[in-house]
This record gives sequence, C-alpha cells and structure tokens, in this order.
Amino acid sequence: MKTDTVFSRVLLPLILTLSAACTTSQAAMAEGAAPRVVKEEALPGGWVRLSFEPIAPDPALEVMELEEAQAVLTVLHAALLAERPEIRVLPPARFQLLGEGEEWGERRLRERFQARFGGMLLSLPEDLEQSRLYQALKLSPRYMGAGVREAARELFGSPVFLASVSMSIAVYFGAWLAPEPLFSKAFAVTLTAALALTVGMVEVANLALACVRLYWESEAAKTERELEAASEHFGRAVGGTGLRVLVMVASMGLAKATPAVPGGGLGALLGGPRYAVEGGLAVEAAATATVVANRSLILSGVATGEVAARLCGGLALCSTIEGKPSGSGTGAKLSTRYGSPHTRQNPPHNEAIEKELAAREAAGHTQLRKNKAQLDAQDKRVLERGTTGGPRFRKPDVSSLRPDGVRHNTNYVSNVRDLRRELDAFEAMKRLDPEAIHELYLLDGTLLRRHVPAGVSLP
Amino acid sequence: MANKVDVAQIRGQLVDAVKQGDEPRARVLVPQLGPGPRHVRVVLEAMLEDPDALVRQAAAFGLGELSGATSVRCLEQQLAIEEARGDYDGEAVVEEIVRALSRIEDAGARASLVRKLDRLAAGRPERSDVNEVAHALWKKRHPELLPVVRRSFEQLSLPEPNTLHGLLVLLEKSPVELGAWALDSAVPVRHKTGVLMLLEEQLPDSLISAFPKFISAASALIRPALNQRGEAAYFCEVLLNALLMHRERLLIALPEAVRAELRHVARSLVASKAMGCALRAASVLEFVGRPEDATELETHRPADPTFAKVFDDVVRALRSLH
Repeated sequence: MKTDTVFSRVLLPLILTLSAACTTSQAAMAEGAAPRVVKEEALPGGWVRLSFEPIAPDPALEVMELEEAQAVLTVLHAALLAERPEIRVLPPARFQLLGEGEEWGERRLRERFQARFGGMLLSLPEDLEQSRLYQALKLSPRYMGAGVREAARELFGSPVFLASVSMSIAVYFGAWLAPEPLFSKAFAVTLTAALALTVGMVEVANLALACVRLYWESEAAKTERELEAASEHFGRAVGGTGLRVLVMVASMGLAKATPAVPGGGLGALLGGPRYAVEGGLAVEAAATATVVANRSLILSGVATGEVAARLCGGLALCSTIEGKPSGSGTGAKLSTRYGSPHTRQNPPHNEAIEKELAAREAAGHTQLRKNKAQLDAQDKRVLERGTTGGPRFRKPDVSSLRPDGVRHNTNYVSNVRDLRRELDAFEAMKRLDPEAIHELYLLDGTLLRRHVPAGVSLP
Repeated sequence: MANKVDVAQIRGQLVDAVKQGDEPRARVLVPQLGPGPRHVRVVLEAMLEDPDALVRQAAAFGLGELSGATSVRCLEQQLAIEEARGDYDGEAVVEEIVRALSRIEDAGARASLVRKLDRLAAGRPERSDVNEVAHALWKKRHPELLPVVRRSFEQLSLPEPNTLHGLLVLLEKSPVELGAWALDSAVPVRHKTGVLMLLEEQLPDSLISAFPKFISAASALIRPALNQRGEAAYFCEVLLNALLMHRERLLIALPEAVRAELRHVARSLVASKAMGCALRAASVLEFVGRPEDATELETHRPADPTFAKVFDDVVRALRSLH
C-alpha cells in the first residue's frame, strides 16, 4: 500500500501550531521574537512561493543537553521496540539494546523509512552498520561544538539512532543532490514545510548539504584518514539547531505521527516556530514542494491566507484531507467534558486525555478522573512516603476503574524535555500501586512504558 | 512588594504545583502572592472566580494555607458554587476545598465539613468522595462528630473498606478498645482496613499503642495474604504503609517483642503474590530487619526492575548493618 494512500485516508495529526507547544517551548517563545511572516508570492498554475528570510539562530537551540539526547533515545527505542517486547531497553545513560546478537529491527526500520519517504535516493548496503556513511556518522560527535558534543555522543552511540540518521540521509536529505530538490510524497512535503516554518529553510538546506557531502566523502573514502576527514567536515557543519533537525527527521521513520512540530513528543526539541504563513498553510495530500536557492519553497497543492485560515482553524500548518483539517492549535476548542484543560498551553495534551476518557467511558469504566490525585482500586488515596520536597501524591492525566475493578492510570508526555520527570513519575506511580495498570505515552500514541499487573489482561 | 508580573508568575507556579500534587512547593509559593496575608487573600479570592478549574483548585489550596474564619467562609461559599456546577470540573475543585478545610484549625471548618457529609449522605456519592470527607473529618476529630458520622454511615451504603466506617470506629472506641477490636477475629478484615486507611494519613499519639494489636492481626493473616490478592493482603499492605508513613514515631517506639513479630510478618510477606503488600513488607524490613533477612529478600526478588530495586535497596541496607 502506498504511503500517500494511507496518509490520505487517515486524519493524522499534522500539526504545526504556535500554541500547541509544551510549557518549556512556550517559555522559549515568550522570550524570543514573534514568528516572522514568510514572504508569499502566488505563481501561475496555483503554485505558491514561500521565501524564508534568514534570521540568526536561536541560542537556546544551539545547545543540546545530555538529558535531551537521552530522552530522544528513549522515544526512538520505544517506537522501534513497540513490536518487539522481548527486547528490553535500559534506562537512559546506559542505553543499549539487550539481547546480544539479536537483530534489533534494522530491516523493519529501513522498510518504515521507505514506506514514508519513498525510495532510496542514495544507495546503502543491506547491512547499514557496514556502510561508510554509518561509520563516519559514528565518528562525527568528536568534531561537534562543545554545546552539543556530549549529547551527540549519546545519540550517535545508539545503533538505532545511527541507522535512522543513515536512512534519513538516504531517503530525504539525499534530495539535495539535485540543484532544486523536489518532494512529491505528501509526507516529505509536510515535513519540509514544517521544518522550514520551525527553523527556516536555510537551516534545513545547510544541514541537508552537510549530509550529502558526508555521504559522498565517506563513500569515496579509501583510508581511515579520509573517512575521518569526512566525519570532521560533517561534525563541524552541524550545530545545535542542525542536530535537532537531524533528530526530527531521523525520528520520522519511526514515529507514529507525521510531522508535528512542535505539537508534542520530539517536536518540542525545536521549540516554537520561527516563521509563519499569514492565515496558515494547509497542505493537501497531493502537494509537492521544490526547494529553490536553498531559501525558498515552491509549493503546489497548498492553501494559504483566508482559505487556509478557514481550513486550518488557526493552525500554522495543517493537512487537509477531504476538506477537513487535522490537528489542533490556537483556534482549537478545548474539550472539558471530563474536567478543565490539563494545560491551556497544550491543547493536544488535553485532547488526548479527553479522548482516552471518552473511550474508557464507552468501555464501561467508572470513576473517570482527569488530573486528580492517584487512587488505588479501593479508592484510597495513594500517598508517597517521605515528603521532603517531592509530591505527596501523584496526579495521573487519566485514571479510571475498569469494570473488573482494576485501576487504570495513563500519563502523556507532551514535551520530550520533561521525559525524565515523566519516567520518574511513572516509576513512582507503579511502585505506589503495583496492582494498577500504568501507561506512559507520547502524544502521537507511541507507548513508552506500560505496567500490567500479573494476572490482569489488557484488551 | 510583588508587582503584577511577579504575582502573575507566582500564581502560575502555584497552579502548576497544585496540579502536580506538589504541596511543599505550593506551600512556599502562597505567601509570595503578596506582601502580607491580606494581599494574598485578595489574590486568592480573585483566583476563585477564574473559569479555569485548575486556578480555582490552587486558590482553594492557598486559602487552606492562610487558614482562619474568613478562609472557611470563602471556601464554604465556593463549595456550594462548585457543587452546583455538577460537572467533573466542579468535582475537582470540591476535592481541593475539602482538603483545604481539613487543614484549617477554625471550628467553622469542621462544621462546614459536617454539612458537606450531610449533603453527600442525602445522595448517592462515590466512595472516593466520601473517603475524602471522612479523611478531612478525621483530621478535625471531635466527640460531637459521632452522631453525625453514625447517621451518615447508616444512610449510605458504601462498599468496604471505606474510611467513613473507619471514622465511626475511631470516634466510638478508646485506644484500648480499638486494640481489642483490632485483635477480634470476628470483626471483618475490611472494616479494620478502613480504620488503617485513616491512620495512614494521620496518627494521633494516643493511638500508637493500638498498633501492636494491628500487627498481631496481620500475623494471623499471613497465610491468606501470601497466596492471593484479597482483603487480607490489602489489610497488610495498608498496615505496613501506615507503619512506614509514621515510621519515626511507630517503628522506633515498638517494644522488642512486637518488633520481632513485625519482622516475622514482613519477612513472610515479601513472598506475597500481592505486589503492593510484598513491596511494603520489604520496605518495613529495612527498619526492623536483620542482615540475615537479606537472603529471604533475594529469594523473592521480583523480576520487574522497578520492584526489584526496592528489594535491592533494602538488601543493601540490611547488609550494611554488619
């Protein structure tokens, strides 16, 4: 089945909102300037040219903390291993895949990238780890700037991340081999538009060119020294923002959702969008994008201005399938059926909670609790021992009692920067009530952690 | 003096802290809302009118911290408003108001909670709502509560264990009577659990003497608590948790014989199939165990890494006793 067919059938959360960012991103946005309006020019044949004037890099994005890298790996590994429960992932700081000698899913990873982005633009050997590109990427953190080096070491130390980046280069960044890269897959078009609005076309193009150069130089390398030189060129060309974009693209082959920047999950790594199209940008399933002079995008199959505003309902970027926008944002109404918005700054988080509670209500669950103190199955408040500084009790995003009397708690991570805290909360809730089901999800539906008590079935 | 920007920031942080259940942080933030209690109260009362229930919850928490008759009046008014909403939003604020009232020393707070209980008893409340009010009333315990609690208990038909029944028992019985009641095998285990659910959150010194009897009751329940996740295991879990919550006052003060009995209970229950019970048993061993108990813990170490860590930490602590 073609990816774009799947894409056109399912209302995927293609969201690029100014308001959907998590708290941290909001804070960053509040400190920075308002998004710059993209220069827009209508071309014959319904084409639109969007020009992104270069702006100075956001200093906050030029640094990446080790914790952010660990959070990225947690998400990537969880996404890849969701279908491989027999493989365990160690907690951050000691990342490695358990099950030595076991194939961890490289073939599946390759298939998923190709399904989403299309065919390979650059050839890679069957075994990615044997490619020179992979080897050169592995060496590159040592040449990166001090602000990102430690985080990059963590990232590039993971075979899953290295393979994902290799595939990203082969199926997406490889398009920059052409003087005017063209994207005809709706997924790649939306990703390009999302990245351009978030960090600017110049930043994306610079990273892409560094990736293409790395590919050619590493493939051409005949000696270790030449491979090292390729690695050095790449490492020195990639700053904090570039690394974040690389993470975003690499995650796209594994994430359940299509580009949602910064709507949640890893999208939060890029902070708030730095550019905006007046009225928003509505991308249709048959859209195409061409990058011109590395700072402009020529798009077909998109709507802007009043039409986009009507279609997207205030979103900065949305995809429209059969005239319906997907996603949520500034203009999105916050559902409050089960209680006040989890946070007004993060509508997708609130909507995920409301949707889950509605599903549970339909399944006959009782005690539908939204962001209230943790209770056990006997309705006893679950208190945390030792009250020095930390919470005395936790407040799961979603909690309910199944018809069979089992308590079911779920939390969502909307900002990958909060992942450590969310994982700690998950562990604490599990420890405090081992007889309950506990889950931790990304907003795109990626399951990060789940605890099901022995003897309890999960439909 | 805090300016508008500061107040808005602190207000936001307070809402976040209350949302996270981080009471220590929220407690520190409340006085920062203004240069004195009067200013703080003005801010909090304005927050009570906010359409966002999270803000109203934070306001209720803050008024509970400010305490006094004015706070009680304000909270009681708000309680009526929130109940009238009849939605999930209102319920969340009601929960916070009940907790706030439980922290206020003023006699009016108790009267307000009694009225709340009366209103609950007139309807068909969920057990969790009644538990919340019973907890609050336990913190405000007074002999005059007895007829009210008894009446409400008789009116309501709640699943056991519940803390309203526990509250009734605690109000009816002297510490000595409570000890005898705890030991009485004719008393259903779930009724005893209801009592412990209250003592877990607040334990007056006068009732410390009753705990050895509860430990003996647990000793008699080891077999059923080991083999199934039933009421015996839950009773043991709540008892062990109460011991841990008040460990500074309870565990240290235990007579040697009781301490030995508790150690036996905990050593046995680390093998319980009810993981909540097993984890609490392991944690209790950290305080009453001996180095040789480490082997027992290692034998029954759970496979799940989160739970295994609890066991491992206790093993390390016990081994360091050498």
